[in-house]
Amino acid sequence: MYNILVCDDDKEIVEAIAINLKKEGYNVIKAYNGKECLDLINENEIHLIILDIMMPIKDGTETLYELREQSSIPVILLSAKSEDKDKIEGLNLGADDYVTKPFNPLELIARVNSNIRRYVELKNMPDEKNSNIYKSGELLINDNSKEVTVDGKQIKLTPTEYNILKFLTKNKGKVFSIEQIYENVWEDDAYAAENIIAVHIRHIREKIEINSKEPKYLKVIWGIGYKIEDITN
Amino acid sequence: MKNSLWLKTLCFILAPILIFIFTCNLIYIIYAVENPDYKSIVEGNNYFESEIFSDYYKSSLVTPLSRYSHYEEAVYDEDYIDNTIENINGINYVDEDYNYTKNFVYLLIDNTTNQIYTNLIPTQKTDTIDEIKSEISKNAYYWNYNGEISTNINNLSSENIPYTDYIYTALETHEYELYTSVNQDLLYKDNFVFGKMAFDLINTIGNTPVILISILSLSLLILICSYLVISLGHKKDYEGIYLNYLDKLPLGVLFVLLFLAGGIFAFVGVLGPAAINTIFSIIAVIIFCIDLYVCFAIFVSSVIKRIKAGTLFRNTITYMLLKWLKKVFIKFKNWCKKCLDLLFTNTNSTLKLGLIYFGFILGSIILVNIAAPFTLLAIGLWIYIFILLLRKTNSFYKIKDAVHDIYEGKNDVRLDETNFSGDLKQFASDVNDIAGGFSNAISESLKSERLKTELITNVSHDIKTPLTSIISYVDLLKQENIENEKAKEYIDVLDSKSQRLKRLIEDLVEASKASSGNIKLNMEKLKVAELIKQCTGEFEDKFKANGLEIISNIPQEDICINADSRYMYRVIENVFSNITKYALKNSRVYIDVEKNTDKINISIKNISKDKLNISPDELMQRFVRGDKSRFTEGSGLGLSISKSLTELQNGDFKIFIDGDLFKVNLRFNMVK
Repeated sequence: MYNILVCDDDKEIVEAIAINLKKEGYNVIKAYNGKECLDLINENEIHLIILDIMMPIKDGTETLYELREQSSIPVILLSAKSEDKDKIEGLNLGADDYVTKPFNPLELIARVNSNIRRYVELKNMPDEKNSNIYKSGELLINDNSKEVTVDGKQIKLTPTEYNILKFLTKNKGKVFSIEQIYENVWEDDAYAAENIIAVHIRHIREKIEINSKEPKYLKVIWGIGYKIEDITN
Repeated sequence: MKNSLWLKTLCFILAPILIFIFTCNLIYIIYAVENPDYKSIVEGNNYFESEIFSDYYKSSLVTPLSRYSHYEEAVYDEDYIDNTIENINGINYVDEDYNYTKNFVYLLIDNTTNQIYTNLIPTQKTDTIDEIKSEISKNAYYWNYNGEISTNINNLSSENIPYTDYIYTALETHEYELYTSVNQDLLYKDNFVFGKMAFDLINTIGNTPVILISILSLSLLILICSYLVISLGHKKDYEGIYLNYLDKLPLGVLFVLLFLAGGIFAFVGVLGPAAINTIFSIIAVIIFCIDLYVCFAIFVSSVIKRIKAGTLFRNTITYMLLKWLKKVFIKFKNWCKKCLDLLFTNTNSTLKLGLIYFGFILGSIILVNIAAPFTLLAIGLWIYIFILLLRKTNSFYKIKDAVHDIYEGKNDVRLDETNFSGDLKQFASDVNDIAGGFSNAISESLKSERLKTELITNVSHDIKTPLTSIISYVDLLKQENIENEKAKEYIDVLDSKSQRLKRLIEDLVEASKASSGNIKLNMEKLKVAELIKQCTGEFEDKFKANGLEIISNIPQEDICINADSRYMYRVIENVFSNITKYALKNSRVYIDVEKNTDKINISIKNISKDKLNISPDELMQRFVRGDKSRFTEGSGLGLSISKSLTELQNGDFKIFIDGDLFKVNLRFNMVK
């Protein structure tokens, strides 16, 4: 049983999130402003916080700032502000994730699951020293067992998808064009590459990312190529 | 034909020869028509009755008379050579030494000096006067004088030789008896023989060949001239009339040049050698004629070419002068008009300036005239006026520069009004007001644009919070096990509409930011082919679901543009999602990438499933959709956002509608 603190000045939203979280088997503690939030953290053992930014009395950023002085609990920021600069600001303050309103409840839950797993369960991730294991952040490819896991959750990929993902992860941080991927994965000239690769990549993204439109691992650089983000923690 | 240089040269050489032939013939004909002698030659049938014979006979008569009369002593006193061979019985036998009258024999008895002369050779038969006379009278044609003329030659009877004639005069001064005759067989080759030959020739052939030659030469001449007139100015591989540098000279200049060329040559070339001797002078005359002809030919052919090219009058000094005069006149007229306009446009300024100007002149004149010391004062006045003018001019230029700066778009232009005086001060202050107005308007509009974007963003935040609740609870409702089918249906409607509302708000914010340029772009070099492949890959499933086939035509080579990767995707994403929404099912979508010099054209074409009764411009406006009914999903902002984003990335976004064909054209600058 993990305790999740949901903090938003909109009671209905807190309620809705709480219902969804409870269904997933989490214990939910509710707060309606930043001050309450901080108080509740001191009183309870909290495993994850969902924190709204625009709140009365003490807003989300202030709360997060004070929180980070004493604790490293995962925080998912929740905000109607969808600008890049808002997201960057929030993440720089020490948030672990950023979800914009209006959100898809399933996505939020998925993100909660992911963060919880990472925080609680995956303290002992396998080492990269093992040459047959490739990883970036919580994305893990075990070439021995041909298994792919994200945040500890096993992902089912087709052989082609697996090969592409393996190739990109092996060379994480580097951008590859469609042609390059084709040539390296198929080990053939890219005559008929066209958009087969692009389709595969989208499928991979849909499988390994929580929100394929805002990928965390498999990034699309439009007009240039694809890469696996090099995430180290 | 027209372009043959050889033919033209030949014509130019032939022409003078023909002219020469024709002229000679013409003169001959004119002479023949005028002359009765010629008529008698042509018409008569006996040489000895013709004028030629009588003319030669008459000139032969002169020989004895002039020789032995005292009439022309002066002529003979020095050159007189006594060519008397023998003197037998008082008869002088003379060798006349004149070959041209050999057939002519005479006996001259001078009764005044009692001298007797004959050109007969002294023989036994010619010892006495009577013998000589009988010898002479053997010949058929005779002319005798013994107080009076007795002859059988047509034109030499006493009626035909007037009293004033030289022969009479010679005979009258002395008392002569003259017996002459010509042998009809013409034993010697002298003028009488030549005359007979000429007579026979002319008499047999008449005028015919002369006229024929004239006609022939004239017609050939006309032919040559017409050919030259037609062909002059045409040159191989040249359209129209070719004018060489001579033809481009003004006509007068060309004339003077050719005149000088002809004239100087005549002076140096003819007069020089002519002084040396006859042969030289003949050669010189021929050369001079050729030279004159060449100059003449050049001039005439140039005139013909000018006429053909239409530059005969235009390319003369007179014409140029007239044209220039006209230009000067018009300029002068305009200037006068301007001056008059200036005088009357602003009577106030005219009056002011007039007072200052004439007052200044008058003042100076008076001061200088009154007394010499006042000259200094006048100079002072001049300097003052100069400084005054300088200051005004400087002020004027300052204002001019300021106005130009405003025109260039600088909105912080301010003139220091204290530096100006009089009317210019007012001017400067007005310019300041205009500049101020400008910068105010610009900052106002910038501010309002920013406020608008801010407003939209803030409102969208406020809308998003309740919308989150709606979406969350609809989702929760969906998870409830509701048996009622109707309720399920209602929930689905709520779900889809709330999702649409969410997208609308996102699009609204984006559109307002894109159109106000409130976006930070991260420009980098993108490969067009890669971009298109990635985007079609993203949409593959959606296209397939709608039965849309993608036919892309992308060059093999790497074509790059400079753009923001993420926003470029947004642009194409909007177009593609439009296609999935509005394209006819089971049709084809064409994606063509073309390279035009430094531009890259990406065109995306599809067939609309509904009738497009709307203009491309309207389609790109915000909140306008192809179906006008707002029934389908989407915000109607997609194309507007795409257009704004494309333009922000220095691209060009255009929509073309042709019947059901919907075409989006993206243009970017190519990057190497």
